[in-house]
Amino acid sequence: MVISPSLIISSLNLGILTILLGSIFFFSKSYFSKGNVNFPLIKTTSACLSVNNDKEETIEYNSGPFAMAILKVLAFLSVLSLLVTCNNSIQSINITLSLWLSNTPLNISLNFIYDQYFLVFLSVALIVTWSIMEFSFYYMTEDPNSSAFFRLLTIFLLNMLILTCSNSLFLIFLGWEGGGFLSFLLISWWTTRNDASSSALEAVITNRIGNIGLITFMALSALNFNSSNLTNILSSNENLTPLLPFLLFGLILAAAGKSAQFGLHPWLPALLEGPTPVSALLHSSTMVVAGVFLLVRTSELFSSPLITHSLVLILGGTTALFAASTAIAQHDIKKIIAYSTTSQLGLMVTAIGIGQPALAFFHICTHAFFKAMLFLCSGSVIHSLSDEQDLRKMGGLSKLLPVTSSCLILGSLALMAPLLAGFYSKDLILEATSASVLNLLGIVLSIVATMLTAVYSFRIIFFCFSLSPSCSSPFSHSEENFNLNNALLRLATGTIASGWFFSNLLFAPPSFNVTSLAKGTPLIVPIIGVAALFMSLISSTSNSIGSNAHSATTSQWFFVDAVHLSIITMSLALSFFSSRTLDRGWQENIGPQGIAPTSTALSKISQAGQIGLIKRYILSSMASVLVILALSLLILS
Amino acid sequence: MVVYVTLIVMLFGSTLVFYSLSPYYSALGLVVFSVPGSFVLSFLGSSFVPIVLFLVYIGGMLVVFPYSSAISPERFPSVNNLGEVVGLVFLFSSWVFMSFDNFQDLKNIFHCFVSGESLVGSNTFYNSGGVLVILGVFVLLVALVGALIISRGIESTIIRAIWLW
Amino acid sequence: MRQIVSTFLFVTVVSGTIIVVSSENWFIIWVGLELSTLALVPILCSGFSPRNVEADNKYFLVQASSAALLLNGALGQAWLTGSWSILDPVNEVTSICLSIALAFKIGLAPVHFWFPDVLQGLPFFQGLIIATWQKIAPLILMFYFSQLGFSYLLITPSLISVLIGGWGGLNQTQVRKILAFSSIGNMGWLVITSAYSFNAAIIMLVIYLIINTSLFLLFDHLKVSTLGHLNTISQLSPISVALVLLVMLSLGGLPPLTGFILKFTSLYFLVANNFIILSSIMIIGNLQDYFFYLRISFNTSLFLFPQHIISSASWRNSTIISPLAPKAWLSSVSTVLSTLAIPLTLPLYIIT
Repeated sequence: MVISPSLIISSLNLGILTILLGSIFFFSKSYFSKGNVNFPLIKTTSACLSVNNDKEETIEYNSGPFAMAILKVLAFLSVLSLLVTCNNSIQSINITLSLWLSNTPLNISLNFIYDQYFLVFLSVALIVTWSIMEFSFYYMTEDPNSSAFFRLLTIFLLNMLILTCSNSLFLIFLGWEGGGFLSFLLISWWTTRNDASSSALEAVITNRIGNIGLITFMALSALNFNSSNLTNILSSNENLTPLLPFLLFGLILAAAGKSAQFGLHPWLPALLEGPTPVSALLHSSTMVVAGVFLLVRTSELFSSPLITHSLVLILGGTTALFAASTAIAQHDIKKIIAYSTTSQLGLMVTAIGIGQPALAFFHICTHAFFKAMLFLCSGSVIHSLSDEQDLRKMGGLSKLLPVTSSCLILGSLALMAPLLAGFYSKDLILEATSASVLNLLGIVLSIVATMLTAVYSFRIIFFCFSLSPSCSSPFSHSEENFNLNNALLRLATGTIASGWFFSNLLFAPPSFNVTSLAKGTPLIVPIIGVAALFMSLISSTSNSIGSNAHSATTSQWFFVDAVHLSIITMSLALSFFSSRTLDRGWQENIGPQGIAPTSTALSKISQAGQIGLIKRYILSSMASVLVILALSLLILS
Repeated sequence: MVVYVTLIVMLFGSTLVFYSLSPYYSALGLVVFSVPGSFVLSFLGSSFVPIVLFLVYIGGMLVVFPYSSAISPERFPSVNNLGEVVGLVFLFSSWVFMSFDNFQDLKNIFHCFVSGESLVGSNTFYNSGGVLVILGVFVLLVALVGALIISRGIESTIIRAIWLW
Repeated sequence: MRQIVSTFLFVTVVSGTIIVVSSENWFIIWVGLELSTLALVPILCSGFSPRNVEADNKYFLVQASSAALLLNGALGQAWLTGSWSILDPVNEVTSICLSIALAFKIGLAPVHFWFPDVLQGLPFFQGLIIATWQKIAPLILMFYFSQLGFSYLLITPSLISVLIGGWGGLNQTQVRKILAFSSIGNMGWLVITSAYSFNAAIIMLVIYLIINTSLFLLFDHLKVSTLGHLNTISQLSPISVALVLLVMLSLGGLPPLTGFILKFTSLYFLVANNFIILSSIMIIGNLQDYFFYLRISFNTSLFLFPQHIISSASWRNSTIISPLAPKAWLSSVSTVLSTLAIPLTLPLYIIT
């Protein structure tokens, strides 16, 4: 074959990245000035002409259609490269673009790897982001600065793609850090709100903790394997070094920070302070799965020590259980979905803990579709109800918003019901869990979490649609907007089809020898959960509100309160000691109070030599040379 | 021993040049410098070069001496600090003797001053050392230009500038 | 001074340096050094102010005595080895003589006293010649010299001069004295690096010369001689505020600027040769340098002194130079090189 498929794929992917990078520079408003008003192309495509009161023509340029078009084209291109991959069974393509700093002990290069993970992720991320971009064009119409918003979303996507496609640790760090920073910008989009700013700070601080882990990993691998190339690092782990536990610790810390595992999770619900498209993009397909993706990439390192596996397993299981149990008692619809994301992330980490990174990745891909759709649905609901987020004030939405409500039901069902996207991956993960020999605790945790998943999913459905309408404005025209409907329906298609598509065409799912009981567990457990939900709803809708268990789950197991209290107490106590000993103690004496007088005195001494007499100058020069000579003779002889 | 004495006298003369406050003693120092210099060179075996040097020096001094004494006739010509002059002469001569009397070997300190090989005769200046001679002439030219520029005019004469200030 | 005379003198200064750099005979080297000194002396006192003449006198005396010491060492060398070549191994006493003489010429620490005084007495342009061009010849000799053998007599003075450069500059309010002390500190960096790598030292020398040239030319253009006058720059020429700031920080070695490669190369070679503790001492010295660089930058850009309207409007008296004058051209080129040339220096780093 003259043109090899690998050539096609690599050129397609590089082209996608390049176009995405280039498109960032064309979002600006400043390309259109007043002089260009009559330029016909602008009118037809992306600008709307408005006439002011004083009959002076001004032009408003919105880059939303541009962003949508770019993403649409790129999504089709990526699907093309994905199909080429399907037909030709390509393992991975490794591309080194150039060497930075080639003569240093550590080679730093622009190194990309195009393997199956990246190709699938690329298509999924592009399709999902396309839909989200379309939705945000609907959602952000009234924002005066929406062009910048679209640009930030695109940069965010670009960072995520760099993170997933690069083989060099430095590029990975670039994407990682860029994602963290842009999440800060996006969450604090409405900067004037106190909550948004503080949530952005919380997110960025938690990401810093994760970064510590990644930097630990980078530094140790540079020290240990003498390479920044991920493939080299993974292939050279045969010689088990004593530093391996620290490497793994860094990785787990990084993943826990980025993917909001238990202990570092509070930033993920706080992220909801941003606009809904941001939550959709960050929660569904991109940022939060970065940690899991890193673990997937480096899963070969986890092969040897079993204790790390158990650690990851328990971490994921705890996260899943915690998030699911918290989600069932929330009243904010976005918060429920956010905790549901956390719970699914826990499930992905569980899959890595049992040594099945492919399954975790599968779950990432399917999860991206339905979680993005859920967020878009909630955004649509909130928008239609004039910014009402409380679940209890909704009801009867199916009459108001038929498309949205059907998509919401579909997304909720996808978490548990068979033949939808989430079920394919989740079923596999649960089966693998029960087939693995590792840890009973992890299995129990994940199964309970699955049951609770069903509970909170049905709770949304129940509250939103089965009750009578209770909202204040029973009138909505938002579903007439094609941007909303198209995005939702596209994602709904993805939700229905992606599980089947991926499992049959791309991933060869491993088969497990499990008992029929274990096989049936993923089916049975949600049914039990739903039944429990209905029973509790029927029996004690009002009574259980005041109970201890309910308030514990509502306030997230008191995690934030406890942690904040303990951290504040500890740091206060420590800062007391440090201020006694350091700030008002020896450090002050040596540092600020010590250095300044010392250098002042020394500079006075050295200034005293500058008396302006050349005879003295030469004399003192000679004398000091003689002193140096005598000293060196004394010391060296 | 004669060489040592001449060297000390030479150093004394050169030190006197820049320690004297009045041009009288400076000119005297130059003469005192030139005579033993020629002596030393003649001790080293070459006789033509020192004669030329001596004549040039004396001729130059004859010009400089009346000129400088005409510029600044002083009633009580003085030397700045005679003790320091003597001290410096002592210091420098001891340094020179130490460093050139095989002090570096630290074995036979009291060896002769220069071992038997004769230094250059005057004919070398015209053969292989021609470039060096041209270079030396150029350096002297530059020095002359510099001296002329520095001593140009009366108001801005360098020595006056210092004393006025 | 007539132009033909000054041209002759400048050419002589340049040729003296070239003679020194290109010859390997100690005697010729001495002649070259004397040649450039003798030609420089009339240039330096061309202003004929008392302060100027005094500085010139000091410069001449120091240069003459150091040249005498150099000749002394060279003679001893010739006498001992029978050849005048600078490539021959040196004896202890001659090496002491030669290195002290060279240290005198470039103003290394224990023999640095003359340098701030001389520089303060001269106008900026003459100071530029002393601080940059006159250092090339002795420094390159010094680099050769340190190749001959590891010499504590070079390492110790350069360490001391890094520290002295910091301490001396802390207390100054005169821009030229500050520049002189920073020059002393940088000489220490150069010489100490030359003990480990000749190429690195040459690169550092080139970069340092460019940065120093642009600084001197800028201050010469702006006629700023004390720290108190620095905030007239913002009225005189606003772009110079940014230029002075950037060049000053570049001299200090802030990373994206060219001067960073100076410190980076030096520290790379020092640390690679296990010179860690002493190089941290040098970093401390450089930190003090940095303090007064920042003081200059701060006064230039961020600060408005309370002062009389006449002194703050001193720009009215300054002459406007045409943008095509050679000095303006040189200063613009050297400023650009001294701030933005770090991509060009990366290949240099690889060459070393």
